[in-house]
Amino acid sequence: MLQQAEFDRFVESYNADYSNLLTRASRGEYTCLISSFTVLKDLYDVILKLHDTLALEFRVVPYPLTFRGSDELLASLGFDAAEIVNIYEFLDFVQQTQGKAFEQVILEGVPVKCARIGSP
Amino acid sequence: MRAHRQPLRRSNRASKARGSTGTRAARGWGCVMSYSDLADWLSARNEAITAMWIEAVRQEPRIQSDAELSDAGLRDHIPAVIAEICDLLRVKEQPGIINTREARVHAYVRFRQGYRARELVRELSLLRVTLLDQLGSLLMSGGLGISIENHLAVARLIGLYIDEELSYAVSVYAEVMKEKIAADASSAQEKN
Repeated sequence: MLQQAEFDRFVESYNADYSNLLTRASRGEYTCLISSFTVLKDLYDVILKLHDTLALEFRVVPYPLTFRGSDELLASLGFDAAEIVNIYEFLDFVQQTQGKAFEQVILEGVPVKCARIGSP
Repeated sequence: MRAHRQPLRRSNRASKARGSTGTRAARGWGCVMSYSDLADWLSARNEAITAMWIEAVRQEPRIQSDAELSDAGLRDHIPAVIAEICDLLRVKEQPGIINTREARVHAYVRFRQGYRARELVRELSLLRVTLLDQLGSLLMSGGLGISIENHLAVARLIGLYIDEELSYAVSVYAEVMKEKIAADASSAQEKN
């Protein structure tokens, strides 16, 4: 049975990954971000399921995984206005490279090849 | 991991009333507005509903934490929350822990903004009332052919969606607070 301390580390690990991916997006480094976010979405779902079904608590709160963007959330995570613009541009980038919205790509859970800016 | 899908319940009587040609044909007769149509109707009013909700929150004396927020800060994630409700309606999914992501963002951001738990509950109550009032006005107008059955199903979905956010908010507020109290108690013991 998963112990609370292990669950806490699991959530901390997810938070670190989420922060890392958003930081990459905020710098305009979009390579492989879609597939990374797909994996992270699965991780987030597992955290929610574990919390919902086992006697575990959010001693560490997982960052909420939004696909629609939130100025307030992003600002609370320490991103400035220019970085937030870059994160929103990532959503446009997904639309351009995948032909559908980011949330749709992630929710469909289909394998996605890494899309590179400027690649043929 | 795919979202767990549970269809919204429909009565046999309503299905028979629509006949074998389904909802689209029935709508053509002016009898039934589909969930997808209702989602589109709500979606088209997303901004207006958000504005009504902001006004309701500003007028609510039991919510004080909004005073520091601009309208943009207050509204921040509500349009996404309404959009997510519309998405659930379109795919006829019951709200659950996996498909209420935007609700969690709203609760989390309020937590980070220093909202008290009871203020968040009041905010969500106002959102529920605002959405149900809109649906009620549509039902009363009778213009778009919404059936009472569909109205109840959508009202139920909205209720369950808000309840999911409340459940998450309780976890975040109570469990984090419990941890903080335990840490404070431990710190006090060490000092003694």
